[in-house]
Amino acid sequence: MELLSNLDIGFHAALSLNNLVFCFIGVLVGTAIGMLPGLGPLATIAMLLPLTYTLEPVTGLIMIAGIYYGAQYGGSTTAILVNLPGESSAVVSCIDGHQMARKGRAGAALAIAALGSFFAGTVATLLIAAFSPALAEVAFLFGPVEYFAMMVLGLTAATLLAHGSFIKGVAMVLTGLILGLVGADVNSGTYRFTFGSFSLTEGIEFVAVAMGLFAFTDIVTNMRNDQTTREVKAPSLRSLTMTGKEFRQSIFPAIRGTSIGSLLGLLPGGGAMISSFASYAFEKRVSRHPEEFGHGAIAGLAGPEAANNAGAQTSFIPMLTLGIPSNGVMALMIGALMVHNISPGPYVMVSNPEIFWGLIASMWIGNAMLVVLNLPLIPLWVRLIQVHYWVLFPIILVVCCVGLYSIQNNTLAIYFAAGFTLLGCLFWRMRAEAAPLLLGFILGPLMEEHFRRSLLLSEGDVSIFYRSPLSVLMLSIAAVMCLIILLPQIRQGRKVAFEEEA
Amino acid sequence: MIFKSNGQADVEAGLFFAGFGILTAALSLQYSLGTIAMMGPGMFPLILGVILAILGLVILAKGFMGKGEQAKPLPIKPILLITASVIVFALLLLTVGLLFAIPAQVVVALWASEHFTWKRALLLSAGLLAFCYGVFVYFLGISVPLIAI
Amino acid sequence: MKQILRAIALSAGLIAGASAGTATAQDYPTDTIKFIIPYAPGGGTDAAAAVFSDRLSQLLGQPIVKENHPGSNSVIGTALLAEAKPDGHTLMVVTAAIANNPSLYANLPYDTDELVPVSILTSYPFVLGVRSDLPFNNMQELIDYAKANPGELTAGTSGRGSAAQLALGLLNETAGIEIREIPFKGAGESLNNVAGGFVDMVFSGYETVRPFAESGKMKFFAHTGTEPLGTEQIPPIAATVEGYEYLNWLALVAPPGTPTEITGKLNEALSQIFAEQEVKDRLASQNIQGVASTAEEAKTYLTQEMATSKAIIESIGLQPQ
Repeated sequence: MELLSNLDIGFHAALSLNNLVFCFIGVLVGTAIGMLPGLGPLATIAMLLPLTYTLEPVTGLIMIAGIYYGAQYGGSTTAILVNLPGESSAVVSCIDGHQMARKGRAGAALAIAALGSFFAGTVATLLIAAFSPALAEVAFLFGPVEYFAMMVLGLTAATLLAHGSFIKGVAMVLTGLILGLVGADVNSGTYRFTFGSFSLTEGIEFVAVAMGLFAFTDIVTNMRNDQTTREVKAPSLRSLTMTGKEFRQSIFPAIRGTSIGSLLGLLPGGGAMISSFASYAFEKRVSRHPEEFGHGAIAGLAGPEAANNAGAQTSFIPMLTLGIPSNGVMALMIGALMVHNISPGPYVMVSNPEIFWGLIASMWIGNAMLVVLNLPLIPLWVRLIQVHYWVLFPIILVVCCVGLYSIQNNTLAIYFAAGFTLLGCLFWRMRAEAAPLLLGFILGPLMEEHFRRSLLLSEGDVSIFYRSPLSVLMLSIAAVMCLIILLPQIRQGRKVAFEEEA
Repeated sequence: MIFKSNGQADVEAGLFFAGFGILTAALSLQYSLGTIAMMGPGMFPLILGVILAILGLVILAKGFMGKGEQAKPLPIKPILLITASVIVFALLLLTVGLLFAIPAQVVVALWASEHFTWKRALLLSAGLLAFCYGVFVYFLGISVPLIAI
Repeated sequence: MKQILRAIALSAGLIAGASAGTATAQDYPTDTIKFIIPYAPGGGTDAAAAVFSDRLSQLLGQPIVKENHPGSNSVIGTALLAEAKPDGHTLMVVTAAIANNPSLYANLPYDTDELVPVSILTSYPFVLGVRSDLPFNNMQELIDYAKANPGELTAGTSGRGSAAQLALGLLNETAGIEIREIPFKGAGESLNNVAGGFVDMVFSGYETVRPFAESGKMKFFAHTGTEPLGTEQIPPIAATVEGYEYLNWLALVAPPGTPTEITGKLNEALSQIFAEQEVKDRLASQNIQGVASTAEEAKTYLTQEMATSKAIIESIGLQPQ
């Protein structure tokens, strides 16, 4: 079988001592970077790229890839433990993952995240090995119209993230969309809502918004009563491991998440990002206990974690098979290849099979390393968040602030984080959840771009949105989703006149 | 109070969203709107602002009808002190340096907690200084002044 | 294992050196040299800088680190450079955008004339990548088609003031046709949209169009230089549209007030690197012309380019804002 012989070439290349060592360095650095707020994988890889020039091409790529998925992993760890999404893909893990941690199930949450990611990574690696050339074409089915429809679908799913009122969820998404528009407009280059500041031309820093609304707001609300009784229960041996029930509950969500992530990861420009909350929305819909979501539902963590990792893996496919970068990290990998005089494109697979298959094999090895590296560390992490809260919260604050500065060597992001802390507290008071806002913030500029580009291409003819079957399909799903959410609410609203939560 | 629903979360949320929507719509009028075929930079924010304002009013109306949840009481002292600690750090970082910015932030933030003692603040500051210098400055090579004056 | 040690040694070198040296220009360089790249990581400028930065670091005996500061058509990165100490330890690698910006922005946070251009490093034409199912195979057919169907053809650009936008504007102007501009966030996205059949053509570097041509999604039959290009001998647009020429280039720029001893030292090292056969071959395979001009030549070239860009920008109706 060709696949087996290909994988043989790959594992042969990836299992050399040198490559194993650099794969390990990559995932280790990646995990650390993912846990530190501020610096993301893109900035880290850009900094370490010159280092890889001295390495064999395949070794360099293996290390970069390790940093990339290691960072995704590290981001989920801080999201679960301290409600701090370092990466946009980890926003969803904050919702139920952090709730699990508060209920004393931090160990289980981390284990579910690790094993879910590993499972997704394994499946996605096999998919890449078996079908990359065929799957690569999927990216070309998506033009501006299809992307716009996907964004609409994604944002509809985002409102499902909130477990409170649907209409407030929509309003939060809109608020996020508006905040996301700050900066230079792609079509005309006009600076919008920048109030004369050149530092704002690239928009408000995502990490500042995430820190203010999630981590800092969390600190404030944790402190409203007595800090000693923070809602994290004392560790017992049992709380560190996953129960058989929790394991069983996470199997199907992980499988579904893997499928969603593998598909969306193929799309350049936002695909992998949407996958984690598409999975969350899906799990909430199919669940028999949707009321558990937002209060530590296992499916609400296992599904998105798997989706996010699968998406990260399959986003390599367009880069490897066509030489097309689907995100900044992939663009850097192309740069790393070109330094070694290897032209990325459809011929890499044929001309340099050891690079192509070696990288694929290393992804699986790297994912296995992450599990081996992190499972034994879980008790340590869990103990770490059980130190006195007066020790923990200043650490979070200071490390976040230094991290914010490091992004652009600029204090503006820190001021923004302070502003978003106030806003976050206000939202908390008004019982409006922040996750939909953050997703609107990420997707807003993309949505506007594709919307305007579609109409520019059609010269103002709106029928362009229903001439593409793919777009019609996605828009219909979004409409049906809205109806499903709204109908019971309207019915319920009539029945329950007064309702108060303690 | 005229409205007994004054403590309603939806009333406050409605006012906020409506206000933010109107503000956005108003600010977006300074940019050109363009046509459907060639949308200007002002069109999309205007549409979003108007929709948000309408949603805000709907939420407000819901709030006045008296159903829905109470607003949660805001803890004023922690809010002010935690936010202030972040701002203090930003102010001091480039003017006097990391060596002073970190302890200042720790002291202000810890003040919000009932567990404030000078000894604890000192210990935390020392540990964080060592950690941040080691990781961000030494390992990651971020150029941040230890002492700026 | 030797590789690992070397990598660790190199990274240690990268990390070391935060102290600000006050040595004289003769000792230059005394410290790590920082290259500001005013674009997002992974772009063409990164790759081009990689071609010479390793060798430059060896020749000068100091590590070179890159810092990406993207935004506003390179304005953000340039503003950072303009504020840096003029001791040659902070430099910037930038494209022709720096010459366009004075005509695009009314309030630049720096004065372009005060910057010290060290060298024009490379210069290269754009290839016109065209969706492969369009019914024309040379420039004349394209122009005839565009004239018969005005406003039907579309071209992706990288937004306001980008080199690709100027190349397109100049083509519309000189050939008397109307190809509609569809702005994207970067060349990568517009290339994908041409390959997917949503947009008709794109002006982009040879190396970025080549993979699409190899997989049959695009064809190229013209470029913006003046001579037939590369092994494929792609004809220039100028062969059909007389007088058409648009070249993009990369320059190394230093902060205002950088002494000539330092720029001279850099120039010497650069011309030595660009004369090496390996570097020549690498650039030739991407159809890039190595230039490595002197500082005076670079200054003249920049002034000249600013005038040319101004004329193009005015002719396609962009106003400074």
